[in-house]
Amino acid sequence: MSENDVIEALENLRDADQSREPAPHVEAHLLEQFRRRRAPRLWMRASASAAAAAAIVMVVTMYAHRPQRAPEPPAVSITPIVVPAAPPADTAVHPPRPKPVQVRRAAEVVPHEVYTDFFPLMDLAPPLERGELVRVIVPASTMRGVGMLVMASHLDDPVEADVLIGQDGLARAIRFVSYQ
Amino acid sequence: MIGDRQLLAWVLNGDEAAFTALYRQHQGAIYRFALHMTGSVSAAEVVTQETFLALLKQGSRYDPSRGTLAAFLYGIARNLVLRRIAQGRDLPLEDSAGGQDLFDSLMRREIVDQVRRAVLSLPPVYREVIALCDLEDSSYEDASAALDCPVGTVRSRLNRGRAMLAKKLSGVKGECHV
Repeated sequence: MSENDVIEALENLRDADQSREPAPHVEAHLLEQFRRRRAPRLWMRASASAAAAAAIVMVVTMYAHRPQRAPEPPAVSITPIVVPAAPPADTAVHPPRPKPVQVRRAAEVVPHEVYTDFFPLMDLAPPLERGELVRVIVPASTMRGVGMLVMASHLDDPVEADVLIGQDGLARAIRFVSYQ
Repeated sequence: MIGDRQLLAWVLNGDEAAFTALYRQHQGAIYRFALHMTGSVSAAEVVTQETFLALLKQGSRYDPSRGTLAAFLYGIARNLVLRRIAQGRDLPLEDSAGGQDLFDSLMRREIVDQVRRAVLSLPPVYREVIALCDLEDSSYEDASAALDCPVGTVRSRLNRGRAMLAKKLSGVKGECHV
């Protein structure tokens, strides 16, 4: 028998068996096994989804019922402004003294703001290497504390001020702000 | 058209429809390969079932760069078949393919049965290349991937297997035409 005859014989066998397939119960059994294997995975997925949903609900609930923030106290900083390292010339030298408000125009800032001089808040301040100005709102009585004249009827009025805070976090001086 | 790779990804993700599609696409070839290797309908069904169960368990190990999914499945089926052969569990042929076809000639059925018996009598290393390349039309590359041997080995085993078949079947053709 030649090789061609063998190939022809094998082709006959192949054609005869071409339509042979496993019985339907094989597929049924496999699907059953597939579902069994999938069931724990589905349960784990459902658990994970439920846990995620619960977490989201908890976060939303906590957010909705969070305590409302109280109004800011007057002394909370508003606008930090970095200033050059040079300390105010006379902050640690001269004790606070009553003096009239010297209004001057600060050309480098907002045109309509006017400031007093800085009043020292520390008698012996450490060297100021760098600092920043923090805009705060204080009662007008603070002005009286540094020696300025304030009418008694206006002691509780809010006043804007810039506090100079050094690199060590200590407040060195304060100036008051008014608007023209 | 959705490829085997995508189908397998869905199967491993728990998609039953994808598993059904993948099974129906490959079950015939795997079953026939197992049938030609074992000669037993029941053994072929068991091998087919275990092959697809193994796919569910080890499908993530399939590497497309090493061959087609069909070759991967043939590889699984081959291991199962060889294990059965080693355990002496393969049974003699229970029926013939043409036996139920009333329109097949007696002569043709006789030839087919003799060829089937001759294939089954080959050593497994030759039987498997004949079953894959001649009876399932697998490419040499797929057979190489399934059998985990070089393509050259597939070719040489195929030639050797055909030669052995020619020897076993010598006289069959003549007898049939007498």
